[in-house]
Amino acid sequence: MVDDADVGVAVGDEQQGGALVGGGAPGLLDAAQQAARHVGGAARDEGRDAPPDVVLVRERGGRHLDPGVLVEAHQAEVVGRGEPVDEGEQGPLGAREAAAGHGAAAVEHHLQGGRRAVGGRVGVGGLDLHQDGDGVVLVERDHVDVEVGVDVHAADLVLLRDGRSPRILLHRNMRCFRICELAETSGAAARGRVLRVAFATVPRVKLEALDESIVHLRQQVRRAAAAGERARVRRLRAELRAAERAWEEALDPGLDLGEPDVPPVREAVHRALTLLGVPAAARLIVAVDEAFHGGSLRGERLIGLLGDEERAFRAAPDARPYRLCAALTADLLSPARGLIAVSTWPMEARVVGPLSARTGFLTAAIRVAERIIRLRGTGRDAAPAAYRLLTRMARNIPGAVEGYGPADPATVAAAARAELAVHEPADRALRSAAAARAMRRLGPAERLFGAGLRAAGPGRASRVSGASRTGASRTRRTA
Amino acid sequence: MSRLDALRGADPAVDHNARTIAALAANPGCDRRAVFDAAGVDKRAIARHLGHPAPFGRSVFAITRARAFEELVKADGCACLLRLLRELLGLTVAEVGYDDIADVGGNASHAVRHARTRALLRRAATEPVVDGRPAGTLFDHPLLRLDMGGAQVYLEPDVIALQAHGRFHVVTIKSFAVIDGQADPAQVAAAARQAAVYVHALRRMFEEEGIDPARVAHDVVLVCPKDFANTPTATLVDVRQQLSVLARQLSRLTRIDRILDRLPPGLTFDLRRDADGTPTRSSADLARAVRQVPARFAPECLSTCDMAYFCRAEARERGATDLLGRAARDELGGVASIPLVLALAEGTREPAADQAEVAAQLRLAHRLYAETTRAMGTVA
Repeated sequence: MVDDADVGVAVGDEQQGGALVGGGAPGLLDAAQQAARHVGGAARDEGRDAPPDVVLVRERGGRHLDPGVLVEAHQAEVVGRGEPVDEGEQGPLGAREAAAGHGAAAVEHHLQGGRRAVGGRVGVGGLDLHQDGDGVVLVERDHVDVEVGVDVHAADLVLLRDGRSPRILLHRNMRCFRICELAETSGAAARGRVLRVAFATVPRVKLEALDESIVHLRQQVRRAAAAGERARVRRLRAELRAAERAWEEALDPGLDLGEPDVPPVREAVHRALTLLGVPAAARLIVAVDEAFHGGSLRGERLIGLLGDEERAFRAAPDARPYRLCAALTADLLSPARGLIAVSTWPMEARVVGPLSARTGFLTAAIRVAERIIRLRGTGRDAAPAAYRLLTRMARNIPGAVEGYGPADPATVAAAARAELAVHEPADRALRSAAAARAMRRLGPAERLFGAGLRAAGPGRASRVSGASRTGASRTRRTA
Repeated sequence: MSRLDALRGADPAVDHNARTIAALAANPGCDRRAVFDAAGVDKRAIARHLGHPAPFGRSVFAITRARAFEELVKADGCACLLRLLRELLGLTVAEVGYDDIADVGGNASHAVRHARTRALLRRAATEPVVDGRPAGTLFDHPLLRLDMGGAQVYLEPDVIALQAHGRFHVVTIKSFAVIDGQADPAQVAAAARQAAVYVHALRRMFEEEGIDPARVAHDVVLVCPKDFANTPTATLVDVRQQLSVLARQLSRLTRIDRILDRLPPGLTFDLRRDADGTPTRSSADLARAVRQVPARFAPECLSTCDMAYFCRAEARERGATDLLGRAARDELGGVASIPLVLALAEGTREPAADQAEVAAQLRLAHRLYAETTRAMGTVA
């Protein structure tokens, strides 16, 4: 992630025209810090003396940066995209404030506060930083999903974390994002938090202004280094790189940024699935990756993964030792929604029946528990995230955990095995029958990526389509 | 193009859901709402274009939160939900079957999903035990169908659970908090009304399949976050009352065909959008078209219907007694406008034969009021 995160600066519409006088990129950064102070108590405490490590980060960048300068690997995440809220759909802010009650009112308050801070900071340059819209980001533990859809203008968000509160934002395409408020909706629990993000357009930073700010920053770095303020040096150097990067970008917008140097998603997914041993949903795969492999995997990178794998497989079936593939439903042999499997697994392991959701969950819990036990055996203990995952799973297994403390892996494994024994024979019988059917009826690609309705057998297909004809004159759907 | 499509115009149809059905059932006499809903007219867009936008909508926060909570409850093959149901309904360990009907072999069309829902539920109801094991327990994303005044409406409850004793329960997942065992009564009531729509639809389906509809429990399972954390908790909510209200009102719903027959031919609510999607139809012209369909305004509409502000303005223009609320309107049966009510009360106007009784009461009320205010005036 560090490698793919590159320091950048928000550059905006040329039409906006106003040059950033004096401030340049640092001005923007400070504005972002101002906004970040609204994020939470922790941020506010250190707001003045030790400004938070807020930097502008590009989503894709080819340049290798000193990791220390930027953010730790687990600190930065591309979290997807935000979307300016459709005014027609949601009404003006005032209306939403009324609808969402206190939380929205508080957000709005901070939003305005944040905007004032930004405007006051850089207003001298004739910079008209206006709010273009806003969106909502949901923070789920350490990974982030953007719940609102995608807009063509909205850029990828980057979330920086300092270990306490999710911080900030950032930008690609002419947009800068500020997180204006962290609305805690779930008490002490770390999940389900909603962030509100304001989008603002900033004008293109002219080369001259950048020149000025680069010189200014170099002086500041020198002074800070002389004074031995290492944290400040780090921050300023990040800003300096941001400004330099922006300077190069402004000079040559077509600069090739190269491919980010992150472990391929499919390998991370494969690693997690190998640990689990059963077809799993993206949510669990990401949780396992976080628990045992440091969490480089991000949920939204899994979207469309199977489609890519299928295309690649059809183009060159033997090009790779394994493929990520779909789990097939036992009755129709069609791809099971949301589940990912590995092509090297036997067919039985890639078919899911009605009981498989439960057996899969129990098997996954056993595998997670066993992995923790093995790690302990080697003298290294598992990461806290692994215990969190185990405990979360254990709560839904009878007899696996008592009270609210972390779960014991051996107890969890034993309890999960006890319940698994109830379901497994029936589940296995159904799966092997379906697997045999799949091997008989399906071609190589369908065995991996599933069949549509027709391939499942003419009898059923005709019955279903026959039923569709009985549909009434008018059909409508509910959300 | 059917008559309803012509009424809607070029815009895509807006979907019905349990919320709109609950709202429609709450005001069954409103032809305007019935026609708009049956035709899938975008009421919100129409109201906005008429200059009476409804100042409500679902907040982004609420949607995000609701979705996140639902995902949490359904994660890991409904592991969390199973635990809750085991505690609440006494599901046995063996009852874990989970069928997802969000699509059927990659086909997500409503008719196919509905057929599949029907088939799975029929099997679960008629053969509850296969080879000594329960056949089906949880059905996720089922698609039910309901006849709404002549229009077929598809409904999608959150989950349906099948109980151990062969009873089916509707499970509804809501993100409002239950704090110390108490939830906001208005939220619970709204959830119960919506759940009642699902129970009703499920019972109709069972009836059509020749299965005893009483096997669908009138107790729905309401899953909500507990206290101030995001921990889900489940409670049983009895929706018998909501069910009987709904059933009565659905049966009273005017057949849509009959309303359509009364409308002038060529009537349409098309906004005549241009290439950019901007409406080009004049709002006066649209208002004329909308007025062709009679509305039945009640103050309650303000919290459930996008058109409410337009209808209220219209009722005000006419001085309609609808503005006074349902109770007052019904008391004043036969006297439709407020000026007429006042004239009858003050005796400045002779009542028609059918208004005599109301007029006598009004005059009495007026006399009592006048005497009371005069008496108070003397005391003061």
